[in-house]
Amino acid sequence: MLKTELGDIVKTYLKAREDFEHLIGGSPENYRILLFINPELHISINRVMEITGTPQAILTAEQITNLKSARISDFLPIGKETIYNSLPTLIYLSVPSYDLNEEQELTLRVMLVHALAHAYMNEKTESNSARTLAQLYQIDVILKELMTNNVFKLNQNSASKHVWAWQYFQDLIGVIRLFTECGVEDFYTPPENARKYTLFNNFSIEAINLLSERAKLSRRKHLHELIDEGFAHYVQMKELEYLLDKGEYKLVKNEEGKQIKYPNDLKAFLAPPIGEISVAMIDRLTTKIDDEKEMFEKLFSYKSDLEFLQEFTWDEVKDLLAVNKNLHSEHVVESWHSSKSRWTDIWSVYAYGWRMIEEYTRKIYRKKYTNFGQLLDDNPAITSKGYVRVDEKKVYVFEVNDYGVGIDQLLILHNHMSLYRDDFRTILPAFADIIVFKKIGGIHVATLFAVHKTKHQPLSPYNIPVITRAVQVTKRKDAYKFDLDEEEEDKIDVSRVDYNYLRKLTQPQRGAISYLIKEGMFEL
Amino acid sequence: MPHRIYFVTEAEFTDPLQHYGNVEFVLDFEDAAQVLRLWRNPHLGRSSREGAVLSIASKNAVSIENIIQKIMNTYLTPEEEERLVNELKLLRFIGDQILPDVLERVNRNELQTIEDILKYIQDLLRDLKYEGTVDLQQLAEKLNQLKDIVDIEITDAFGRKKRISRESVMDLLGKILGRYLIKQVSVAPIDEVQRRPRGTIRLKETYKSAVLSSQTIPPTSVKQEDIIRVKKDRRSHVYLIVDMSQSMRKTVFEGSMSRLDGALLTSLSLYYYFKMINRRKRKRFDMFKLAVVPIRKNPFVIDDDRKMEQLLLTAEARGKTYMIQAVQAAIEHAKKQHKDKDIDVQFTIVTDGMPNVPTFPFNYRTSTELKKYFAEIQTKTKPETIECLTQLNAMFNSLKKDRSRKWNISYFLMGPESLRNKEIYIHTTQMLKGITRPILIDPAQIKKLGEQILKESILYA
Repeated sequence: MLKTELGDIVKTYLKAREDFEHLIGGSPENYRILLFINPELHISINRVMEITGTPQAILTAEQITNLKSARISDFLPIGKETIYNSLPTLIYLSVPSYDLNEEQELTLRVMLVHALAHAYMNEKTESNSARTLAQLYQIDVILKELMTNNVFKLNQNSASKHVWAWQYFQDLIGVIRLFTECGVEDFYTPPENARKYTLFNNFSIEAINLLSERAKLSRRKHLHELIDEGFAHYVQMKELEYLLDKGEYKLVKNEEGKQIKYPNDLKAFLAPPIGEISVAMIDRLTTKIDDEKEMFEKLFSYKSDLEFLQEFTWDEVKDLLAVNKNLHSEHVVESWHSSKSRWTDIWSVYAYGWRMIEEYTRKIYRKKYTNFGQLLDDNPAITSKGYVRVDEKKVYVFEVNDYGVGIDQLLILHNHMSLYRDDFRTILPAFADIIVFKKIGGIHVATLFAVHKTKHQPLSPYNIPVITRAVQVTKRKDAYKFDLDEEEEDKIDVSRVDYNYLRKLTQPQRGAISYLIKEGMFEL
Repeated sequence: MPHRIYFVTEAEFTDPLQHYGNVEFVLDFEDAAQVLRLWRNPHLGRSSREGAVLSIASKNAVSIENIIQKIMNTYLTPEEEERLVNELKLLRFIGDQILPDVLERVNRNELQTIEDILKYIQDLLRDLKYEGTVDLQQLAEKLNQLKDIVDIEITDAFGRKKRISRESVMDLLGKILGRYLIKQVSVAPIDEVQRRPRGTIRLKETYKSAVLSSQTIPPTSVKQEDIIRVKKDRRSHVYLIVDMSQSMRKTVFEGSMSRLDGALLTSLSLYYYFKMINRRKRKRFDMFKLAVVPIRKNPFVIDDDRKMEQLLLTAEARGKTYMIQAVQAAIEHAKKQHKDKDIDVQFTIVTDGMPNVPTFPFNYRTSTELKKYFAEIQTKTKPETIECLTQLNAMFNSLKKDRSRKWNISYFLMGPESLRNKEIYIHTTQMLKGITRPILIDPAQIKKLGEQILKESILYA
């Protein structure tokens, strides 16, 4: 019944395929299109891909909460199309409506051609990007299944329902994924022969193995963004020109009669800086290689963005960036935004996009990065800073950047640091105390997580006495003086604390650490 | 390549932004005590306030990231665009300028109550007036979220988190604890149908209750023999008379809560228990009602939400045991409120000592037998306590003799098992002779108190 309702969409799809064959002289064969009738679902997938890189990855509870609250305030971008550049290429589309009017048909046709171009590139390219993404996707699906089955099984077998299992496993996978990707692999993994004792052991062994495999894979993935986007945007531009020449759709010009007014939903393809710069680069390439076919072959032969960029000198690249940024700044605000908004307000957003691209190109050109791992190591999301010894136990110190782990999930991290505490026994074996530095917006914060002895058998990994303290890291001299003066002297036994194993810390960070140790570790 | 269309349902392709797992919030009695303590004392809970600042900050950061993408990727109407641009500016301003300052103040223990925060916001806005960087009106609205900082954060045993504002603490705690009790001692009104030759009669005031022999709550199964039918043709009014003297300050559960906390939470859970079962089905009138009477210098009867909240916030374990006065207050209240003879009154007394403030003038007839008992034995018990016990005995005796309505009395004595050999238990037993027996409850088992009281007052009353 729905098949007949989707008739218009299928017709447009076939047209798009024809266009593509006409423009490029070939067509992709290995791709899947998922049409969402519920646009909310598409937005969610889009966000998951933005955060984790693949559409099936598991988010941590905090990420979900934050995204949900952004969704409630209507802050999430409504992308009409999301493409996952794997093999097969996965194309996620929101259904515009069953009966397409002319504008919607044009939008859909251009969007599909853009997607087909991605699919074509993924099939032809010699880089490992598409294959790696396919493998990552697989691993994420396996992890999801593994989690679902284990939660089910865990709840099925136990009399006291483990209602915590969902959230815990979610967080566990989310956090360990992030940490392994950043090269921190110091987790507690149960020994292989522990598999048969509990479901949880089995699950952790499997999950941690899969995640470390995933991390290795994703680090090896070639950087391929500019080529992917460049090719897709180039084909899309050709498609638009082709359609305009053919005169199949009537596009209105704006008041001054200069620019064509494209359908609103094409904004995601025509406005952002990535399309602008990548097309400009391909245009520049065409000046060097006249024949289009040959140029395409050349594009497919590049393994990574670096090889592509190395077609030009650094001066040329800088020039391309500067010129196109200027050009972009002249038209983007007028053509895609309301005249009511202030130019600087809107342009600052695009300028932010340009800054990211500039940084990216500079890094890979200057430092000759070819894969994702190198890029990660350049600005690691997580760095270890050694540890503080308090009495008998160690407090590990980390620094986490913007893309790092959330505060709540640090609890999971606790449980899986490779340190055993004899006084605590749960189904989850390891606990360490940690201090984490993190920048959130304008706050540079140091957080302490410490676990105290439990007197009762915990019901769940969340049911443990945890001390969490957070303090602002500042340069101010009196910053960490407060409160300590009020406390009684005998409460603080500073002599047992050994700061010798810390490294690469600033003075304020050291101050924050000693404050947290004094405040937190001796509080109870 | 052949093109095929498949249909995938939402069950097969679930929303990744979904919270899985159980939605039920399970709060232990001890956890509830912790919440109660945080609620009563705003100076506690600094780490929760710090956490709140951080969670606001990270929420802000995620929103900023998404708004940037939305402005670039999504077609926006002018109004929508204006809103997003404003939001972006505000969020950035809050994230970069205000939250660091707030965190520092929280570290210094400055922002502890709603009033502190409101004052802080006012000061901030006054300072900003002269700078003119952001829309102050909107900023003020946005800053209202800082009030969340003083909310109480509760995590249940299964990691589920909730932040509750101070105003809703009682309601939330009461509902959680009350529901927990309902699961243990379920009473559901049922219609008893009697078929007769001339037609059927439906008796409305019949209650069915399952008394659980199994330990898991909720039980995995209910046995048929555990289900009890309680026929009620008379309404019950329960007075929970709770000791709040000095001795209730003692701690139970290895210091994580005091006897008073336990007693207060029990009162709250019972209060909500009755509130909730009364709400369940439309009836002519509420079959059960509960009022709490704290044992303190000027005892009064607590029978509405506002008074209950006041009690929870201000109750202190101090002073002597004014039990006679509390019982008198309850009797007066019962006689005044319920002129209807069809109401049974249940006095449930929870104490950990003996009454020690006698009242004068005393109009009830004291028992000679009890006087004789005290005269004959050698005891270290103070004379005023003995006087009190005789007075209490006299009051209870006269209630028992009252033909006009049924008065039930149950008496819970808090203390370890070893108390059975002590004077306090023996004297209490003597005092209650012919009326009821004292029930000894271990303070560590205080979470079971609610259940016991319910069984006393509903099922076996």
